[in-house]
Amino acid sequence: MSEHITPEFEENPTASMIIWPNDGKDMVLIPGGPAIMGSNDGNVNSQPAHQLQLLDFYIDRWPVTNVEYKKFVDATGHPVPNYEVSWCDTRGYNWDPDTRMYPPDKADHPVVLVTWEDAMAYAAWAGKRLPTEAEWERAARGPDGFKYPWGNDVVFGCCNCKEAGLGDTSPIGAFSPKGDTFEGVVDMVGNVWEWTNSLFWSYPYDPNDGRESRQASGFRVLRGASWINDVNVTNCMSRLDGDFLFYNNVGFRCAVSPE
Amino acid sequence: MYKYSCRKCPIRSRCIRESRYTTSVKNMIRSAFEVKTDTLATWGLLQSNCLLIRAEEEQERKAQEETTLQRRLREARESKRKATAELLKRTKGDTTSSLIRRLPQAQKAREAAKKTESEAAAEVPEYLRPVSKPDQELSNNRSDSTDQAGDTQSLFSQERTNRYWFTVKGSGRHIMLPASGNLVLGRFDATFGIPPDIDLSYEDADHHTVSRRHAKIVGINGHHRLEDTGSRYGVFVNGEQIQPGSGQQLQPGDRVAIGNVQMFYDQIPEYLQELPRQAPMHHILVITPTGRKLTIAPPDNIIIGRSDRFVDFTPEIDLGQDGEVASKVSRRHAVIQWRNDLPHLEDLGSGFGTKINGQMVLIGQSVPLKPGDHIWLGGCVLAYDVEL
Repeated sequence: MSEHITPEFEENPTASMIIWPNDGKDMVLIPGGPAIMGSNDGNVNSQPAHQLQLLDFYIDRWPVTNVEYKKFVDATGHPVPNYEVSWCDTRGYNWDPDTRMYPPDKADHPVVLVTWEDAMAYAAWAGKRLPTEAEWERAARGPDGFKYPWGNDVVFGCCNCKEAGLGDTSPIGAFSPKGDTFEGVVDMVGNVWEWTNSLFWSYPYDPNDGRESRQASGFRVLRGASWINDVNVTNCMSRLDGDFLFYNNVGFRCAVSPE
Repeated sequence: MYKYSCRKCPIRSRCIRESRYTTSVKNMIRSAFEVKTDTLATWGLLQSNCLLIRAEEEQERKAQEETTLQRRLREARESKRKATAELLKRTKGDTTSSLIRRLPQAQKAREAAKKTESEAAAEVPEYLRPVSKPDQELSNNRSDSTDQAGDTQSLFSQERTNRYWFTVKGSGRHIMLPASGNLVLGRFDATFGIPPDIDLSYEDADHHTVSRRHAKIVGINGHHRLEDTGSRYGVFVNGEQIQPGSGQQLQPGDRVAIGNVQMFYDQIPEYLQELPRQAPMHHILVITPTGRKLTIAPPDNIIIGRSDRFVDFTPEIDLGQDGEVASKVSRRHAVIQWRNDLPHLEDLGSGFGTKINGQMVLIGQSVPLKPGDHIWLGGCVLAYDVEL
């Protein structure tokens, strides 16, 4: 269990990174300021484009992996993802319920089959929180507001979408540094959908209208597309309302606000 | 790996132009071919919607269609042949008996004398039968005529096992449950996910608690089992939640809650199972994503589809008015025909097909509509109901 995987990423001199002590994950500082959200074409859910102001925040450099989630379930006794359901193919993603161990070949893959409540529990244990939708989009689009983390054009081989042809989750950083954002955050687009803190309410985004409430009921926003989705969905603007409990292409990453 | 080489393809430019990607992707593909840096991934992009392959599939589909038509014709011919053979047999028997009836008493006596006593005893009922024969023939004729004319009239009584439905609290909508087969309940979404067979988005409009694929009804021999398909807000039967991955058998009178939408599981009342043929009734279609209510009436055929201003076509029921619900509806999707003043639905070769209560309507098949039926047109669901 001691083998913790530290991916060999290319160092990005422009970003300022810290290592979060509670779970040992790299976190990247995203400086605050004006950020653009949504777009004027494409899906109705992500229209219209609008601007808003954000504060500084740190975001996990990669989604929470199986190894990191294992630390959490060991420390808290949280139930491991192990399901037999008809509506989702869980083969190859289920953890071993007896040894509480992730699938052997997926140590540094993002954890999947996690509910929003699981993600919140992990964040609470690590002393973090889930990013809001706006923060997620700012981190993915970079300071220039690109459509994709790497720019405004489709480039193949930059993310784990349907066209990559893997048909499965990929190890974090598999498409690095080509698919990294300006600040050096990896796997933002593709690989797995990521839970956010926001409720799926229509745009324009307003953080003070109650959509960031943790007690309110409603579908939470998923961001970033996954290995199932094709090139039309796999971009920084697409949103999905998480109307299911868990899925084999849904994971999460956390954020914190500096003191 | 791929069927065709896109590099040598004569209609590549057309294929790129007609693909569903955004302009930047198209430009990227075009430039890749120009500078010859195209890869298998680029080909994959194009061949997900290859015109050549599509044309082939179209041909195959046509061939299949022909075979189904031929099969139907053959079946019709066979049944006709069988019917005529039976008729011949019956009339043959009739003729012999009537001949015997007309025979003079003397000949009859001679014949009876020729035969042994036992044979005569066996034939006595035959001789006695002419007394009751006219009645029998009459009843035969009557049943024949009712068979022909009442082909459509007996719809409601035909499927005796099809006896349960859901009544949605509030809107009062009825949802017919098939005796066997699966039915997915959920909410309409034009872009993500698979459209459900039964669409509850109108009832759910205030609360947003129904998932895209919320619950599944499994019908086995007329009994129904309810399963949760990983919904966020759960499925409740009589106030108790069904665990995801397990299911529960439904009993008549059960209260079922799909998110915040409440329904009752009950038997279809007798008067609706066997509708009187000439009963005055209003036929109603509800477009479930938007809740738009339409009244349809015989005798004209009604085409359901999506209007297209480029070819200046507007069907009788235009789903294009309801916005994005019509995104997968064909221009001429299906038609409602009237037989004995009862509606029948036929698919008009639509792109995404037509389902009734989760079962695909084959091309050339005319399906009678029953109250509570849900018509699935490429994702947009219409509910049919009657008001007596």
